[in-house]
Amino acid sequence: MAEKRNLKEQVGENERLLKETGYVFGLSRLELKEEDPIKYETVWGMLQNASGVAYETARKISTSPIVREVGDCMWGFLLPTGEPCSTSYGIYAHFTCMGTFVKWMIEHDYEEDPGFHHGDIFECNEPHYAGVHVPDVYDVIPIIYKGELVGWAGGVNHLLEVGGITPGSIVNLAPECFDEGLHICAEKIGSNDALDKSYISRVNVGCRMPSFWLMDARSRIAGNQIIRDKVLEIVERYGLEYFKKVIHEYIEDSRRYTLGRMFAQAIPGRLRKTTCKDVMMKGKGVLPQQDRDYMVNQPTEITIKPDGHMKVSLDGASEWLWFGINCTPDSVQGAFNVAYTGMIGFDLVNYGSLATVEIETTPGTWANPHPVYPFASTAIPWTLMVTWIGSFFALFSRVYFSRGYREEVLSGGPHSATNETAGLNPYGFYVAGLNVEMTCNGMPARAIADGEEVSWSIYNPMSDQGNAEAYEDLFHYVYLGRRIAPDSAGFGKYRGGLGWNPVWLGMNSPGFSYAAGDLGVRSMICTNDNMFGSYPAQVDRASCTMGANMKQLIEQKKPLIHARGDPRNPELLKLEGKVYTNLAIPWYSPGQLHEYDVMEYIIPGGQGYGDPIERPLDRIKYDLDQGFTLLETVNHVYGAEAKYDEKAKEWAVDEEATKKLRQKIKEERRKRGVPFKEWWQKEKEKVKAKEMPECVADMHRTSIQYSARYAKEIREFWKLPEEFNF
Amino acid sequence: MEYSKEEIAALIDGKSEWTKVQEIMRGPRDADRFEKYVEILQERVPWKERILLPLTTHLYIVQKGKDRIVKCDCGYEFGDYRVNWKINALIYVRDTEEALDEIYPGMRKPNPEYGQLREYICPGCGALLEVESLPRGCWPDFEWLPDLDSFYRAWLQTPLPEEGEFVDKTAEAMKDW
Repeated sequence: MAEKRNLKEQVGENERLLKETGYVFGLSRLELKEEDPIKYETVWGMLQNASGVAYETARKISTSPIVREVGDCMWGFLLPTGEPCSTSYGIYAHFTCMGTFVKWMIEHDYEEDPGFHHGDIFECNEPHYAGVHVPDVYDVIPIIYKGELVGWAGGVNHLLEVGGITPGSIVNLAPECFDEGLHICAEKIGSNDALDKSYISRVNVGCRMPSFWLMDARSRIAGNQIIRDKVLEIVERYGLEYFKKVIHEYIEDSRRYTLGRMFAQAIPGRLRKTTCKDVMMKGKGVLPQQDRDYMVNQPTEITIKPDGHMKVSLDGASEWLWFGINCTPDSVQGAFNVAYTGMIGFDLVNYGSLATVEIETTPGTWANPHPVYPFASTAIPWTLMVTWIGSFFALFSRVYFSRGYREEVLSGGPHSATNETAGLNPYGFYVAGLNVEMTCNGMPARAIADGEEVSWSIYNPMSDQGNAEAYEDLFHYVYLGRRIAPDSAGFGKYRGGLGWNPVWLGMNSPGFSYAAGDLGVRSMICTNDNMFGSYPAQVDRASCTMGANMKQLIEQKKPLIHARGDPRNPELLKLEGKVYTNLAIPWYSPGQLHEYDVMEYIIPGGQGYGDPIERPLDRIKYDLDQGFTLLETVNHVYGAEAKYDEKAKEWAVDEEATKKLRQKIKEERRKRGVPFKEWWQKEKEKVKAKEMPECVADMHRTSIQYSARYAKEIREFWKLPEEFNF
Repeated sequence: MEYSKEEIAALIDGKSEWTKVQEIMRGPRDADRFEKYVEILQERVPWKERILLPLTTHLYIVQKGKDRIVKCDCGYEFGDYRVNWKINALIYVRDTEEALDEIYPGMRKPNPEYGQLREYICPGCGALLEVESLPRGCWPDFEWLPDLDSFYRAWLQTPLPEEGEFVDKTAEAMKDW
C-alpha cells in the first residue's frame, strides 16, 4: 500500500500502481486474507451488513413508491479515495458513479475547501461531473474516526419529480441539459448531520414535489448514517490499521475474483452485436430541432483478451440527439455494471470488479456527447442504456454456451415502457411521477428453460411490481387490469418470460397529463438481442382514451376493459368516443385526461432462445392452458397443432400432426430462403440508392462520421464507393 | 466441483430439476465442464469431425483435415469459422406487413419500413439458425469469433495441433463478390 499522502496525491498514486503493477493499490499479496481468512470474511460480512441494513431500513423513510415499493435505491461504503468497496442490493448501475462523485470532489480540491468533517453532507446529480442523470441523486458523507477520514458512506435513489420541462422524472423531451430539472452540482448541502436551509429553500421552488424530494434526501442520508455508525463500530472493534488495510484488500480481491470468473467460465475472442432503437418524434409538437425521427445505432463489441481482461467498445455509435436520452461515459459504465452483476460476477462487487474492464465511447455520439456538444441532455439515459444493455446478456451468453455453462445463459433483455402522470391526486395535492411497475418485466429465456414470467428487472436484481394500492393512493388512476400479456416475449424453443398488461382508469382527479414514457422501448423495429433462431419480442405501443363512454358502461353494469385483448382488434376500440391506439412511444397526451379515461400498454417480456419449432410440446400445452399464447402463434410460430378438449377442459397438442407440420415448415424455409449472396446482390443496390427512411440514412451517416471502422466496414460489405455516404 | 456426464446431459436437454440447477449455479465452477460437454455433444452428432467449440444449438466449429470450419449438426458445412457463416446460409427477409403478420399480428407488429426481420436458415436441414432485426444497411452481425488457440493453449493447457491466425476473414471471403 502507498504511503500517506493527501487524497488527491493518493488518487494519482493509486492509478499509477494499478497501471504499473496490474494490482489495485499495487497489492500483489492479500496479507490479511492469508493471515486470518475468518476475520477477513467476518469484517466483509459486517460491511455488507451495514449497506444491507441501510437499504432495508432507510428506503422506508422515503415517501416515494419508487423507493419504498420497488427499492430503486442503493447504499454503499467507499474508500477515502472514492473506490466503492461494498454495496447493498439495489440499482447496481450506481456504485461506480458514487465513486466518480467522490473522486471529482478530491480532484477539485474539496479536501482543502470546504474540507471533509463529521456530519457533512455532499450531494450531486449533475451528469457533467458524475452519475447517470438528474433524477438519480447521490449523497455521500465522510466517515471520520478520531480525526482521520476512513471512508465514505454513499446513497442514491431515483426521484419522482425533478423540475424538468415535463413533469415527473422521465424527461425525454429535454433538448438540452438546462431543461432537465434541478441540478445539484457536487455541493455541500449540510453539516452537523442537518440539511442547510439554503438547500431546502432551493428544493422548495426547484421542483414540483419538494416534500418528496426532501424525504428522498433524508432517506439517503439516514442510510448513510447507518453505514457510518456501523463502520465506526467495526473500526473500534478491529482497530484502525487493520481496517484501513483490509478495505484495500477487498478491492484487489474483487479484481482477482473477476479474472477468476473469466478464466473459469469464459473464452477469449470477439463478440459483436448491433442493435438499433427508434425515437419517433416527428410531428409531435416539439421544438424545431426536435421535429424529426431518429434511429439510434447501438453497437457493442466485446473483446475478451487471453489475459482475461475485457474491452467493451461502442465504436460505431450514431450521433448525439436533441432529446434527453444521451448518455455520459459514467452512465455507460453504470449500464455495464448492471450487465456485469447480472452475467459475470455476483460476489465482492466493488471497484475491483471493473478494474479489468476498459470501456470505449466516442465523443460526439449518444454515448459521450459532451466533448462535442457540452449542452446535450442526459435527462433520461436509461432510454438508451436499457436498449444497449439488452445486447450484453445475449452476447455474453454465447460464450457461456460455448464453454458448456448452459445454466448461465440468459437471452436478451426486455424493453421498458412507463406511465407518467401529473395533476391533482385523490388528496387534492399536485403529484407528478412514473409508475415504477416496469421494474417487473419478463425474464429472458435461458438455455435450459423459459424465462420466468413478470419477475425481472434490468436495473435492479430485486425485481418488484410494487403494490397496486400504493400507486392508486398516490396517483390519478385505479387499476382495471394487471394480467399477464400473452405472447409478449420473444418466441423460441424456450420463450422469454412473459410481460404483463396494466390497464388504468382515470379516477379521483379533476384532470391530469399522461405520458407513455420511453425508458428503453422500440415501437418501429424489434430488438436484435435474441439468440439462436428465436424471434424477438413484439414492439411497444400504447393506447388511451380522452373522453370515451367508460362511465356509462360502469353505470349500466356492462363489461369493461381489463386487457388489450386481440392484437388486431384491441378491446379499447369497442369504446365510443376519442380512442387512441397503436401509439408509438414516447407519446404525450394532447391535453388532460379525466376520470373514466383509460390508459393501457404492455410491460414487455424477455427475449427468446432457439428455433421456435423445437419448442417442447408440454410447454406449448402449458402456455395454451394458461392463456399465455394464441392458437395462431402455436400454429404459425411454434409449428404445432393443438385442439381444446371441451370435456377435459384443457388443451391437447397433437404430436404426430405437429411432427408433420414442423417438417413442412423446414421445407418451406429452405424453399423460400435464398442464398445469401443472391439476396446481397439485390440488397446492395437498394442500400446504394438509399432506399430507407431518412432517420436510418442519418444513422448510417453519423456512424460513419464518428467511426472510421464503421465507415470502412459498411462500404466494404456493400461494395460502396470509397467516398460514399448517406 | 464435479458433475457427471448424465447431470450435464440433463442440463443440455432442459431436464434438470430446478433445485439441482440452483445447486449448480450457486456452487464453484466445475473445471472439467468443457471437456465433458464436448464429449456429450460429440456422441450426439452424426458426423466424425472433432468438435472444437459448440457455437449455437445447431452449429459447431470442427476440425476438418487442416481446416477449422462451421458445421451444422445435420452435416451442412459453412466454411472457415473465421468467416461469418451467415454469408453461406439461406436468408429470408420479412419486410412486408403480410410476412410479419404471421409472427406479429396487429399491434405487435414492427414497421417493415424501418427494420428487416432477417431469418438465417440452414440449407441442409431448414433449421432457423439466427434471426436478426436491423434496419437496411446494417450488415449481418458476426456475433462470436472465438480465439481458439489462446483458449486451448493458455486457458485449457491443451494446445491444438496446428495454430491459426485469429482474424475476421469475412471481408476477404467476399472480396470477389
